[in-house]
Amino acid sequence: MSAPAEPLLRLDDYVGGDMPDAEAARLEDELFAAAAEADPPAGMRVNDGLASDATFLERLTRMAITAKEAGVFAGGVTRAQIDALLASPLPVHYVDLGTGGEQVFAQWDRDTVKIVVARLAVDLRGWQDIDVEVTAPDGTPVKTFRDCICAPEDGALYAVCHEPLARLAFTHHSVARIVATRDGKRETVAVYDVRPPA
Amino acid sequence: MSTSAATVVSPETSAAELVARAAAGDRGAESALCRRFDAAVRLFARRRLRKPEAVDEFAQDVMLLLIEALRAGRVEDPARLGGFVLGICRNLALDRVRQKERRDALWQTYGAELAAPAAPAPGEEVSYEVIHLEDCLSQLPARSRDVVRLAYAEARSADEIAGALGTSPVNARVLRHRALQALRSCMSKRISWEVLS
Repeated sequence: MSAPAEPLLRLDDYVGGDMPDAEAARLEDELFAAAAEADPPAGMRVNDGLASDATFLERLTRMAITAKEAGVFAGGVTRAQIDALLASPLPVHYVDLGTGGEQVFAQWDRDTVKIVVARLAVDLRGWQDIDVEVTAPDGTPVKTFRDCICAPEDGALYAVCHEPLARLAFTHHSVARIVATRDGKRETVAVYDVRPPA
Repeated sequence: MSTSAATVVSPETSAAELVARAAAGDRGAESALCRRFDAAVRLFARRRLRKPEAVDEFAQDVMLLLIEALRAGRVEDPARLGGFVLGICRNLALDRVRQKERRDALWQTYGAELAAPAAPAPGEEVSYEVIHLEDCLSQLPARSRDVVRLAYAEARSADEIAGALGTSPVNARVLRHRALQALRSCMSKRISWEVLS
């Protein structure tokens, strides 16, 4: 197994147990010497050697634990999970965006809502490799949700996010295209023209 | 116990100067040193411990021992502070192994008498960085998301990740590296939705 040169990947091998003990001991010497002389970066946007990469990896690990608790890794949720969320004491804002076309996202109380759920009510059962491509109205790419999983009960996609992310996502005009594969053909299944709350 | 007011510490301040200031009672210097070593100490712990709470406890113990040493003036060579802190980590890790053996023996004898502690409630507030990660994860292929979950959120070994994904440990490591690079690239930019702002 060849050792990577990139500090971030060396640290990843170190933490993941893919580095022999002797090499790990040398890395520890380097890492602690570097840490002594460098303040940690303020955010996640740096790439400046061993100490800052250690900070990135450590923060990523802590955030991944939080993200897992929030169910972010699943790529989709079931209708039963949505019903459980709606029945919980957590303040949830639920919006059904129908089967496509022009939609206005209903306003929510930013002070109280913690989770925002948007239902894309197209039946995607039987489709594979489901992506949701989001653009600005002028076609500027925003992001692509990869490998989404539809709810087995109704085939819908449920977008579940923390309120601060919803504030970025649903308070501006955007266009979302559901693209998926069926019988070997890649197709646009539905298009949503989503406008912000009035 | 006498304390001195914390002073402002600039990012360029050398470790040797911070050690001298800490020994003189500057609490700001102590805090700055703890911040500098936080990630290194936690990664050291993560290589050896799986549970997040065990990592937290280990990191806290190291920082307590560091502060104690700083206040007592026991850091004899401030230019080699990194080695000093690494020494604390290694000694503490050895102690933990001994403690674990002792603890396992106690559990064998008395463990059934103890009730399981309640799980802590999840945190209410969500930071910008967490929603940034949420945004970046949703742009990864499902296999990469699985790798990130298994490796970082669940602290699984390379062999366990390989088993879960039905691939070889070597390939699992490659997948982990690629996912990590993709995440760093994504997180070094703005949250994707900010394009619309």
